[in-house]
Amino acid sequence: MSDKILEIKDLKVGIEETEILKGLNLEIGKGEVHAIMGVNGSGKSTLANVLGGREEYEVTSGSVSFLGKDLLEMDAEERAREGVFMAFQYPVELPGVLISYFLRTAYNSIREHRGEPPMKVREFSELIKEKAKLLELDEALLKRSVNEGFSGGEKKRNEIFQMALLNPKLCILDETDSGLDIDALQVAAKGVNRLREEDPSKSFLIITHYQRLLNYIVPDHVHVMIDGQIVRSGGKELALELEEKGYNWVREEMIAQ
Amino acid sequence: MTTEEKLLTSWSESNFASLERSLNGLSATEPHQIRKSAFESFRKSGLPTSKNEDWKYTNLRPLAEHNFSLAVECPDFTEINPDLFLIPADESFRIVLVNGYFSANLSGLDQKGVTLQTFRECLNKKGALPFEAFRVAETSNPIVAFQSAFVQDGLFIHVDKNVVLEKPVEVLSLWTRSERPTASMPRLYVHVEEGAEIEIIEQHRALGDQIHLTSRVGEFVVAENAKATHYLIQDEPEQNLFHLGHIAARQARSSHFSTSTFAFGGGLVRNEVSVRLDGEGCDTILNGLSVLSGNQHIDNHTVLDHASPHCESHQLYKGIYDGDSEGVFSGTIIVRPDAQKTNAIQSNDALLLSDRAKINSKPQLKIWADDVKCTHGATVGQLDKDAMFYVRSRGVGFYDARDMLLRAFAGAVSKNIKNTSLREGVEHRFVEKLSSGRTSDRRQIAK
Repeated sequence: MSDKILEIKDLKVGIEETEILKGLNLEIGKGEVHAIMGVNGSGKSTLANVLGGREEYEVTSGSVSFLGKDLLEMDAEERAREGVFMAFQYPVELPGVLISYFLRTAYNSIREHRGEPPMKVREFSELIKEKAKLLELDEALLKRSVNEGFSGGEKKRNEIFQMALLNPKLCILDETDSGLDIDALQVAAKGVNRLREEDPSKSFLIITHYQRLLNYIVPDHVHVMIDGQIVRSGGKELALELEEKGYNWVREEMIAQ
Repeated sequence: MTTEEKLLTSWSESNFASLERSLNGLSATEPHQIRKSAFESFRKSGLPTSKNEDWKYTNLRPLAEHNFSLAVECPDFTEINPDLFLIPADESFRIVLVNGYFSANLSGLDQKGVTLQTFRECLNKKGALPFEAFRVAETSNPIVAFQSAFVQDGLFIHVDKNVVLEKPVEVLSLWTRSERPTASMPRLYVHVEEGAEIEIIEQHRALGDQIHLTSRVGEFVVAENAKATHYLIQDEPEQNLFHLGHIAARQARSSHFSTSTFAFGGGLVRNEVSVRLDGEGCDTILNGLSVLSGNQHIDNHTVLDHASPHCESHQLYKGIYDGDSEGVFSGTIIVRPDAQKTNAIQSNDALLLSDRAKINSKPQLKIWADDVKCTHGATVGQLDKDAMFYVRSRGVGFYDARDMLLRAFAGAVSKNIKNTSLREGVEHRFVEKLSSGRTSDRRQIAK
């Protein structure tokens, strides 16, 4: 079907001779929200990083196609320009790099890729103010260095803010909820939901350990990941079931089969 | 005596002899006698070798391989590419030195209370050198001795008591094309009287590409409560260029002195800064930013002599080293017995962009007072791979991401430039220098 945005087939990935993803399959359609749940060490974040284009991982087999193009052939920056965005689990602090400059460079790199002229400083500064308001991000943060001295919640909110600004087709949220209190979590989720409302064709891959976030961002599909593979998929109710019965339940069922 | 000293000595002997022959009865004048005694000092010491602890990491041997002649005056040099200046004409006083000679028709420093004299003027009038010119930088230092021996001209700026210059002074020091290896000897003396203020931007650039030696000395006398701010922008070619520089400053009570060195060019560069804090409550800032690639070698060598109590000094030297380039930082802080309540901070940070680039960092503290605060720190690192991935994952290309992080690293030094035109000019040169290094193997970077 042509409305697939992401197709992962039999993906095997290792780092320093340890295999982490052991034949992973996943398809995401346009406008769909998929959640991947799993315990620590199951390979969730590896998946996010491989999709984001981190170079330390070695893909030993399988394929990833993004809107029909070979994603694994692209550098991190090409993926972003084509419309993949990853919200980091641990956003990096960039002392001395002002957010406004950082974002304008990113924004214009993407525009250039699309054959559009760069946006002027003033016009851009209006745009980021508007987006910041939308996401309840303190405007004062925009005058600071990227993530420097930000609280955990501010960092995560800044990720969602960048996501809103760069307008990707596929948004990957790598444990955006970890370390957030319930208020910060709600703000982040609200931001994501607003993006969905604005553009229902956007797709999301939400990687999380906990079910909590999925109360606020309701997924279409939930996948359980164990030991580098998706072992079970279902609707949003799977997340609740998992919350109730724990990951061992899935493991035991696997063994029973 | 080692071979290299002899080699250079034979070159220097013949050049000094021809310099003396051209004097036409001026050999007894004070300016020349000062040169002569400097030459004697130099003859005794020769050029330093790596046996000298202060020259452990910088080898001047390649300098001895060439037969330099002193660059000549270019009296008909009347036009200059305005792009060479860092500051717009209406925002600065401009002074031009060509091959070390003061160029009267390209220069202008017209403000009441500011006097400008030249070495040649003093020589030709058989007069003495003003104030403490040639007496602040010590000829016990071989590269000061060398420069003082061969100096052909020089600039003496004097600022009267309580006079604040309306605009910064941009001193553009150029050397011209020649078929043979040349040496130029730009010399600067700045004397700021009590309560006076001056800002000097000293820029070194080239109009030729032959083998060249720039031998530079700058002297600063900063009187009580006066302020001298100095910037040095070294933007000569990356190849065939030797640059040996020395800045000597002496500060009186409650004075401010700062010098910031931005080094982009030069094959073999030595930048020395030596400051004596002679009065209570002085404040000294030494900054440096070096951006090197290819086979460039730069040696930043500082000596801060805290001779009085309640003084503060801040040193921040940063370097970005690509290709096979090498950096050296050696910074000595002396705190004399009387200099209680000294606060001296020194830091040196290096980013290595390739496996082959090197940095040697050598802080030295010599403290004889007991109630002082002295800190020094040195870091050596590579571009942070997590930061690179983060920036690239937002769509920014590899080199733009790299330059963004390098600009942030360098920004800690350049943000201290208060003059906007100058800061933008320096940052522009910085970016140009970085983009010239974009051909280097990107796998070397950020791993």
